Amino acid sequence: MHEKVREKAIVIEGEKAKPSLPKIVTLYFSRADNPSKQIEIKTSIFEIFENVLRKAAKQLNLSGEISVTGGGFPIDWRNKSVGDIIKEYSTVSFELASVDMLG
Amino acid sequence: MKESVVFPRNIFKYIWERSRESAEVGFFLIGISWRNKYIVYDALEFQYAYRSSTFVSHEPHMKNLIIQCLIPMQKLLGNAHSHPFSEIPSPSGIDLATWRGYEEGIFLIFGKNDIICVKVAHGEIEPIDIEIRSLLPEETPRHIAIGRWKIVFPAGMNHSELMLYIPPELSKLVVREIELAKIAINPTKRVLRISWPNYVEVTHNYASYRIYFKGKSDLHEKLKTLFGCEHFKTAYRSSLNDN
Repeated sequence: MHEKVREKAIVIEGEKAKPSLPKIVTLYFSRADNPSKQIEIKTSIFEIFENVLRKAAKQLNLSGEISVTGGGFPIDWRNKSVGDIIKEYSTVSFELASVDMLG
Repeated sequence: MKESVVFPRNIFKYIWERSRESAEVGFFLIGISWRNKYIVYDALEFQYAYRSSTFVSHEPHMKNLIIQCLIPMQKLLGNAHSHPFSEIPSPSGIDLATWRGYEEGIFLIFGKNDIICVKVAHGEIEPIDIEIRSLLPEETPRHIAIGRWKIVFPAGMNHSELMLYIPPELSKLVVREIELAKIAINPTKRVLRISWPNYVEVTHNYASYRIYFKGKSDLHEKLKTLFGCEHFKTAYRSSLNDN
């Protein structure tokens, strides 16, 4: 009985340790080729990430196809909310770069 | 003094030979801008997302990955691509739009018999001289290590230039690695424990890259994205060897 109680206590402690996201978050976007050029966007965690990305790209003067990395890894943002991205990649800072198309 | 692009003969020859193909080829140019020169240390061929005789684009994450892996003060200088069917090349509308996307950069087009080289700064495009030769001793890269960090600079940089560039360039690298690090907080002892990211250092032509990775497959994927399947001579040092 004693062992069972102890086991349960550990699980609860583990659950408490999980951070919960606030409803409104601030995301930081910068141009990969010029990290000093950074912008902040305050948004809801339920917002579609693609919409925030469009806004960030416009403010950073990036056009065409955009590549996004966060925490050093490529971000797969399609059909995901801001909250999904933060939970999956554990970051609120993203670097954007345009894709070079030449013809 | 007039600005120029210094292209090591072996790198230029490689791009020239590759641009003889009937399909377009594209390269990212890596190097250092120092005094009035843009010194090219490496040319990385695109991992192609699309390639034809009239159009070329790279795998979307390649550019971001290159920028992340470059050891300061090296940077992405611009790009080069071929126009296989033009005797004397001239930029297309797509080329101009892409070039203007860079705040500053150098861009080359290799035609059948000629090349053009331009500099773009804040939307303005102007021709720039190109020097195809071996690197002079003062232009060759040299490294300085400060703790776990490293900086690359041209051997001819004088003391005052180094004093001017090292602090901001070093801070860029430290910030980058803190962002990639895992940070654990111990509230009772009031300390932060930083687990720095794993990396391997790779030398390709004259350029040095610091490639961060989580696991074997991630490293393999990144090496493939940067260098393709070509056989390259690597002088590499892994952070894992430190432990």
